[in-house]
Order: sequence, then structure tokens, then C-alpha cells
Amino acid sequence: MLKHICNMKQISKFSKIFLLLISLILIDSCVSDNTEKKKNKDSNIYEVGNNKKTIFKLPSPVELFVFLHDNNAKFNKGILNTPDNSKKYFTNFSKLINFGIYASDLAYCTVFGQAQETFVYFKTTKSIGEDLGLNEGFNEIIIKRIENNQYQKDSLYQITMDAYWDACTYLEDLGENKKLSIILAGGWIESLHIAINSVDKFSPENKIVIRIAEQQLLLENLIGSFQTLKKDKHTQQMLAKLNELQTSFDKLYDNTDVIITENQFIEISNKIEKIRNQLVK
Amino acid sequence: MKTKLIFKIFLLSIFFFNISNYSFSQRCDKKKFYDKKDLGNYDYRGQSSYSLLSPGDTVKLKIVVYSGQDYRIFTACDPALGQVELKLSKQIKKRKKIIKEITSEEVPIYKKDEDGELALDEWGEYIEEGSETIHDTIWGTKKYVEIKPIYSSINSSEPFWEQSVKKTQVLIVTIIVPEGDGDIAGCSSILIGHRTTRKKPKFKKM
Repeated sequence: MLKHICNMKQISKFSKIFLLLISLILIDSCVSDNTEKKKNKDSNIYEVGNNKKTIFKLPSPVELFVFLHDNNAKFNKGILNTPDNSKKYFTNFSKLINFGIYASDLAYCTVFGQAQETFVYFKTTKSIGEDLGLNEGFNEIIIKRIENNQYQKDSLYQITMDAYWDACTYLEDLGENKKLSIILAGGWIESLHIAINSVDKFSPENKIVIRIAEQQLLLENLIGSFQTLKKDKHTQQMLAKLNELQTSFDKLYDNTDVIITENQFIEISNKIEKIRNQLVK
Repeated sequence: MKTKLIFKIFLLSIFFFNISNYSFSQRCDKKKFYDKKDLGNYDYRGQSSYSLLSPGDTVKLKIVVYSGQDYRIFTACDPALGQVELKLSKQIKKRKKIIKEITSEEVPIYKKDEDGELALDEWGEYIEEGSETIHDTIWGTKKYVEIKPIYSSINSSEPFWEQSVKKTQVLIVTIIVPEGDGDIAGCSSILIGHRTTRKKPKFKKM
């Protein structure tokens, strides 16, 4: 009996310790919640220090593809990064940039109502996303949703838009600005590569050509976002490529009669193709 | 026995620590401080931004708005942050022709014959009879940025900015949290909604 009472006492003693520990942990988590807020805020300030908390945004590649579709561009599967290439990317940088490239290809297939290709590119994007620990937006539930909506263009569009957006906001929320900028760069370069290849014949009045010329504003924002990042080899190399491209886009400011001349269009196209080929190889 | 029990408590503590940490962390994109009807028929995926702010903070967002699209831009914040101001400005990058350099050069003046042609000496060379200074203007271009305010939520009757964009351009969206208790942190959303501008019907109204 005495032993039982002792045991009871021991249990009650440990229960007290246990309750105390739980209380301490809960208090700690409340405190760490505040510190976390401060930490996140500080890291945000740090990341954007050069521009005093300026955040640079780009319209999603989907908006460009909707524009191409509305202006009678033809779908061309041959210009996309083949899913087989996904096995070739080993470094984090190449995975991130090609995650953006494949996400852009996926959006292109979706906007142009290519159900089979949408499925293939979703799986490819998801596979690279998994390697990067980026499951937000690209998961089995979404795959099932795509399978179920394979022939409904509007649903596919909404699903893939959600997936890309969820992945981007997830990274932004985590303060992973570097990863996000690299993904956005990949997506933007691929969308421009697709737009350039959708131009049948150059004309300064061609609406697609004009939209390509307008991409100089997106490039400026993209460069702005790279300039806010902590310097490393990959981001510096990417920034150098983007700056080099900007020298060609800058020439458009000197135009008076037209937004873009044929020579300027060819120069920009060649540079985009060169950068894109370096990234996908 | 005692060690085992302490070990169990330790494991349980880690478990609860993780659970509590998970439940307390917040994702600002999941917090919604607006009515669904404020969204209208716009798509907010693309350039919207979510962040954790404190009193006295200012956030600047540079976005690109495409021609041929309608936009609705507004902000929705944690009420703890007070009355947050939303400002919008157009950023117009321009280039103007400027004088980069004026060079001066001394050049010889050659003698001319009765017909106004340059005269030659016995060696077949032009005959120098003096010199003059020639000024040459070298032109260059200078990039400059013009910022034109277009909206402030404080001075507007509408809680949002809504426009059909005619020319693709950069907009600067700024949100200013009023000064207050610096220990407070709350979520803020800058919502950038877009949709394709509906084309007016080509047929005439009867």
C-alpha cells in the first residue's frame, strides 16, 4: 500500500514536472513566435537592404501566354524544354532555374489547352520540386485533380495557376527570396523564348513583337530583385547575363518612330536564345 | 526507471514543442483581412504580396501592369496595424539627349586660288595660311526616372485603385503603416488583381 502511495506520489510529482514543462514550452513558443516575427522581418530587411524594403514583382508567365493565345499564336511543342532533360540537373541552381522553366512550359501547355502535355509537364515540374523540397502547390492531390480534369481546359488552367502561385507564395513567406528570384528568372526567360518563337514574321506593329519589347520593364524588375540578394557565384553570373540582355533592351529607349526595330528584335532574340540554351543544357 | 520516465518527458516535450511552434507560426498569404466581395471579378495570382509588418514600416512594391488588362489594387491588413495607407505612383523611365562633351580642335586654314579651290605649292601640298578653332559637340543620352503619384487611399473615396491600363508600365505600390507600438506585428496583403479588358461589342446599339 505504502509502495502504491509512493508510486502515486512519484507519478503526481512527474505529472507536475510534465505540466510545468508543457507550460514552459507553450510560453516559450509564444515568445519564440514573437522572436520569429522579428527574425523574419529582420531577414526581410536584410534581403532587400539595398532598396529599403522594395519588393520587385513580375506578372506571371501565364499572362504572357494568354496574350499569345488571344493573338492567334500557334502551340509549338518543339520549343519546350524536353522532360528528359530533368534528369540532367544536379546542382541546386540548375534545379531551381529549370523548375521555373518547366513551370513556364506547363503554363504554356495549359493555356493552349494541351491536356496530355499539361500532365507530362506537371509531373516533371513536381519531380524537380520534390528534389528541392518544394512540395507546396505540386503534390499528389493536384496530380489527381489534373487527371480528373484532363479535358477541361478552364479547370486545368485554374489548377496549374494555383500550383505555381502556391509554390511562389510559399517561398516568399519563408523569406526564400533567392530561390524565388532564380525560379522567376527561369520562368521569365522561358516565357520570352516561347514568345519570340511565336512570331511568324517581324513587324514593329505585330502585337506579340510589341509585348516582347515591353518585357524590358519586367527585366528591370528582375534585375532589381537579383540586386537585393546576397551575392554568390550563381546569382552574380545570372545578374551578369541579365545586365548584358538589358544593354540590348536599353537601346529601345532611343527609338522614336517604332517601339522596336527588326535589328533590335534579332539582337534581343539571339541573346535570349543563348541564355536559355545555357540554362537548359 | 526514473531515467526512462525523464527520457519520455523529454520526447514528449520535443513533440509538443514542434506542435506548438507549427500552430503558432503564421503564413500571411493565408490570412484574409478583406471581404470576398472586395475581390471583384479579378485574378490575384501573379503579383500580390504578403508580409509581416510593424507600426512605422513602409513597404514598396514595384509591379508591371500590362496594356489591355484591367487592374484592381488594394491593401488588406491586420486591424492591429491601424489605418494603413496605400499609395500608387507611375514610374516613367525616359531618356533625354544631353551634351556629353564639347571638344575644341585647332585646324589649319589653307590658301585658296582665284577659283576658290585649295591652292597647291611647288611640292603639291596645300598652303597653310593660319589656323582656326573648331568646336565639336558630342551628344549623349541620360536616363532619368519620373515618378507621378496617381492614387492615395487617404485622399480617395474608393478603397481601391481600379483602371484599364492602356500602356504597359511600372507602378510603384507603397504601403505605410502608421507609427505605434513597435512590438506589434501583423500581416498585410497588397492585392494586385488583373483581368483581360473586355472588348466593346463591334456592332452598333439599336
